[in-house]
Amino acid sequence: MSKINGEKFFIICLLVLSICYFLGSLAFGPNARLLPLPVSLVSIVLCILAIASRRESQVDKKESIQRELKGIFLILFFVALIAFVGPAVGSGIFCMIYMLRKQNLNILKSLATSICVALFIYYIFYHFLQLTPDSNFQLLY
Amino acid sequence: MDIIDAALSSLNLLLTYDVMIMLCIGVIYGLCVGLMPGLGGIVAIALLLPFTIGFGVIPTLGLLLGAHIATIWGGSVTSILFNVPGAAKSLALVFDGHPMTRNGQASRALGASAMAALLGGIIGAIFLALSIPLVRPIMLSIGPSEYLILALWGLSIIATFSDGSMIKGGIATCLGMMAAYVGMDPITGTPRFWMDSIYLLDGIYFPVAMIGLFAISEMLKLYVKQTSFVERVEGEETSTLLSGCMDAFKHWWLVIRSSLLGLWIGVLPGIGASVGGIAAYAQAVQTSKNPEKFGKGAVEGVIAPDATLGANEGGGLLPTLAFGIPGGESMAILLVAFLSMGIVPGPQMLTTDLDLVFAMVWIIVFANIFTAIIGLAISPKLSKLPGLNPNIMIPIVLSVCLFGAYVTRGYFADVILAFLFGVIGYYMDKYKFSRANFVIGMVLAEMIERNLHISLGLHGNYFIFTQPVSIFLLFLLFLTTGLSLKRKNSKKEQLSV
Repeated sequence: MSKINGEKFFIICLLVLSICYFLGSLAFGPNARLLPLPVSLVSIVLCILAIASRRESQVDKKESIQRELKGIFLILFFVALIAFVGPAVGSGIFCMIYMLRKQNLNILKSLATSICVALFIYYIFYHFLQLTPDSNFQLLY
Repeated sequence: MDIIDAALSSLNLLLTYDVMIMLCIGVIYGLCVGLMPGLGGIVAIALLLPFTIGFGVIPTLGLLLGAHIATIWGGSVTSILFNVPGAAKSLALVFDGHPMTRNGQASRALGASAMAALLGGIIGAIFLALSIPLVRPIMLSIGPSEYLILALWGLSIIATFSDGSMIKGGIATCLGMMAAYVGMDPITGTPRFWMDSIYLLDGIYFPVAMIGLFAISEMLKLYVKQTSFVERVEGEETSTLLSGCMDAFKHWWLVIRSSLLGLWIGVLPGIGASVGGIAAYAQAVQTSKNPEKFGKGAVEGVIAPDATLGANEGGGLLPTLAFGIPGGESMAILLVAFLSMGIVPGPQMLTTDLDLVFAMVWIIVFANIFTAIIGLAISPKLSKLPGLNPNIMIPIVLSVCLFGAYVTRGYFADVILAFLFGVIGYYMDKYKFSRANFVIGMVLAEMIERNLHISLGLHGNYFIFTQPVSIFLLFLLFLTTGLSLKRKNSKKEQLSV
């Protein structure tokens, strides 16, 4: 199968999300669910209407899906770099790897560009704006 | 004290060498901060607070208010050029500002934006001075049920962005509202959809969601398509700054209307400029002869929100100074600064200390002028940025955005959230689910919920029908929405014929 109906799949995901939200809302007291409950209900109805509509939905080629997944993993890789080596160094490493792969620059040019980007970001955020988030670094929990 | 005397004596206080220097420093600093996605006026002012000790009151006010005004325009620039709202306030600029850039009219959009903000600031200041005696009774007559209807009015523009499918537009709005209800319920204190994460108890942080929804998703799109950041529909940049500036004068009536709207939204505490921008956009669409052009690069869609934002700050000063109730988030930080400078808010600010209020109004006018001059000077360079090679843009913009998401609060979870919203935003854009509707839903959801609860508690289930101002506003809401939809349908019929 070289084509996937991505739009329908996306709407089904939203429908599942809305149903979970609706069921979650039922657990709250009447005041706390005053708006979340009807809003999620409207969302469910609209998602069902969108799935049932006769309008042709967008069909994606497998190649474009692969490219999208590559892009998502690329950003995920950057997020992981920030988690492991910190945002300033992570930005430098990410820029270097990206430019080496995409721009076909030699290592020296990529290194110089990425150091410039990392220093620029470091200078702007840490020195000029004096934001030092490392002092209260908190992971998701 | 006589109003004219107060206005003149405060102008005299302002026209000194040190005040002007501090104002310039504040404006340049504010522009730098405003151009960084996610860092809004609150960060800019909060970072300046330690530097305000030891200076006089007026120079310090010049520094703080100058930075605050310039940050707002900086946020408009990123909305127009990169589809990334620099702050929640600049959200409405995304709707037509970025399509203008895509159409090769970035310079025109920047010119119109700077000039509309300048005119809005000046008009807002003039009307603020004239309306000071009227303000107090009007401020007190607007209650939660009226705020609720104002929020619903903001929600009524989703039809404008539901290009092609109202169902998809509705889904996007519901999703935005659902995202806004994550976290602690402000009324009952019930934790909602927090998935046992303390981070989510605070709710979804709005600037981080916007960075993901607009900036990261755009970078993902750029990576997939491998075209330049701006897919220019009509070739290269074709417009000029001057044409944009002239547009602001051509639509003078829209500028005046939007400025007055911004002023009054600023005066009413608790609404916030992000709602103001959306409301200004809504009135521009509903009163336009060509509403179908909105969302596709209509210059009116840039002029209206920027004029509102320009005027909003002057209005926001009134409740902050007269009642100690901040008109918005930035005003809350400013209030802290005022207190540290010995400025004590209270009704005396509108009577005996009127010269200080006017000094601030003048500072806002001068800050708008400096911002417009500096902004117009750097705009030709800025307008070339979106045409850069995508392989250079992607790593740099991603670095700045993820760093911006991280650094604002220092939570790594914000980076993850920005990434998730980036993926959601990409697929929403791909399958034509309006991201604008999502954000409008997210912005207005909290205001709708809070005011609905308060109205029900105060006036019972039929509160709308017991409040005369609410009935009037509700009538206006139905009238403007009905007329707008009717006009849209008749245009559609004309096109099909």
